[in-house]
Amino acid sequence: MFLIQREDSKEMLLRIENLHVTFETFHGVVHALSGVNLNLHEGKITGLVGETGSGKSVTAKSVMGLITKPGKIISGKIYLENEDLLIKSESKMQDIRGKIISMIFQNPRSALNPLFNVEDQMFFILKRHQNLNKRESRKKTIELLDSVGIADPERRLENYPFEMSTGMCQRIMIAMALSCQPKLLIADEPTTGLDVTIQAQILDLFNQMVSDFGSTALIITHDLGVVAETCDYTAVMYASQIVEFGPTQNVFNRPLHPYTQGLLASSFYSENSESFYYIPGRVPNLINFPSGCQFAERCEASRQICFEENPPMESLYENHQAKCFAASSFSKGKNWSNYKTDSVIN
Amino acid sequence: MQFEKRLHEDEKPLFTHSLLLKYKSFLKLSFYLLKRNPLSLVGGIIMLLIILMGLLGPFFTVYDPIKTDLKSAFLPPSTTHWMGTNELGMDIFTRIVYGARVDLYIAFFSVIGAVIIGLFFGIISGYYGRWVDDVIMRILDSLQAFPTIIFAIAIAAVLGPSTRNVIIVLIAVNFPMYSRLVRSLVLSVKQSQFIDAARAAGNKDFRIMFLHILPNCMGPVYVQGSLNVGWAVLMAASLSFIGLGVQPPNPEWGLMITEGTRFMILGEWWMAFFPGLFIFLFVLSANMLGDGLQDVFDPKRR
Repeated sequence: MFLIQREDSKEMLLRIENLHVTFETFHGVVHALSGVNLNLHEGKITGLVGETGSGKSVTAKSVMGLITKPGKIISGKIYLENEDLLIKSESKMQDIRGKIISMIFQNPRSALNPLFNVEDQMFFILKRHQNLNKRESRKKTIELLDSVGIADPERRLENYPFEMSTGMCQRIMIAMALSCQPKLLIADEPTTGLDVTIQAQILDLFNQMVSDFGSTALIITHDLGVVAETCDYTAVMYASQIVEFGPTQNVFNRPLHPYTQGLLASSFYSENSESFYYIPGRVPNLINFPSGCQFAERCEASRQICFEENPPMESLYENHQAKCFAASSFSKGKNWSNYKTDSVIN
Repeated sequence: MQFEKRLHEDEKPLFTHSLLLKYKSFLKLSFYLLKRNPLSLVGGIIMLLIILMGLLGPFFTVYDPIKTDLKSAFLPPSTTHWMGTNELGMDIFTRIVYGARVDLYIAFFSVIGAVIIGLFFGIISGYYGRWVDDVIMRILDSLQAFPTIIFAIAIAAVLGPSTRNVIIVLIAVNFPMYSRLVRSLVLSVKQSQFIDAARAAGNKDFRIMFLHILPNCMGPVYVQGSLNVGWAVLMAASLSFIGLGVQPPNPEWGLMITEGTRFMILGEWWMAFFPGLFIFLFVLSANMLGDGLQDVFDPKRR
């Protein structure tokens, strides 16, 4: 693994506690998040992995306070350095966004305003949060563009987003997001729209920038490779809940939840990848939740209890938790594929 | 040969890059863009000439626009009276020159007023949506439900006929259309990711509305506005026709046409033809210019 080891600190920058978010639609109430708990260690990069529609982006938006109608935060707490973000007024949140928490978006080209050039867009954000004038902002912008590896930054100032490549736009997004030295940086699928070679560069840059600026980062992705490469901690999300959380190395080497095991088995990185493995079945309907474990229907290791009771988040190692009744037996080195045969024998 | 051609194509993007550096001043840039679009350059030149004509009116002609001279009534176009005279012996060319002031004044201020008010309501109703949208749009619907002329008569009856009131009437009749246009554009621009990004960067609602959304909706508004300049002249003419607009003997192109139509059948065609020609030229140039204006304000089309 290509992990960058950072000093571990016990401090939690962000704590999400039992967060419930629903969306009211014509077909019924969609439970986008049902009881999400997530802690971000200060100065670390945490990856949030999951399928499309598992609630990754909604988690990010809740932290930013950008859930709009018909979405609604039903209950839960989000603490940033022991301050509850959910009870803050909109204008307070506006001061926090961009300055203390900033965000990088999935498609950098459409996340930049097409009508303004780089200099102006940077100026808007620097004026908003640091009250710089045009000349100071220009100077700072050149520094920032230089630090994100853009060649000839002075000429780039005049460029509009459509005149630059997607990778270049993403570099500018990163520069913008880091311009106010935020404490928390949320990257919503930062490499999805990019070429593989550019992906690696952007991730490297991201990694380096986060350490340089001392920020804490949350990367949302469905690419396990991205997580393996950059993240210190990994949270796996399935059907609006976090099913496993732990240090990346542990999660990848010793997954405790059958869903994580399935994900790893179906990735490029698995050892016996002659034929692709896939997890059978489909993601449960978020409107009518099945009772019990959300993954039970697709799980090959599921038992009677899995269909009846919702498993608690079980902490097995330091910082490594999983939401599965069988987690403890997985921790004894058993894999879910041999788990079933074992249980049959027993 | 082949190689040279390919080299030329490769240089093209470089050229567009240097374009913005080359044409730093806005005026230079707009002239460059208009030159690239010859039709809008023609429109711009005609418009400029008409504006100059209005501004420098007295230098063009020796006659008084509202002085009756019955000895020289009904004269056809000649070297002394370039566009002939009307039934009261007023020189048509002089009246057109002075009328340009009135018409430009009405056309520009009514369109600019309608655009500003329309944009404001449109953007608020599109951005906030829900009940704000409902309330604003239903009020505008009820404004639009009146037939234009009846609505105009009602306003003019309250305010009294005058040039200023023509502008007020035209704004009141016209701005709901801009609101609808802008609202629909805001609804689509609002969904773009850069608006999410702007919110995530901590921008306030008004800043997002007027700095990020508004400029992205302006293209169709410029086009609609330039089309509307012509419509405003025609509308002012019809208001004058029913006696609620500019009052005779003040020179106004639409009014001159309505005066002239009475004599058209008798063979005195010049009374209605020349004001009509100028309205036509003005409307045409406004439309051609509108197309070019869109290029100036949209960096992607440069």
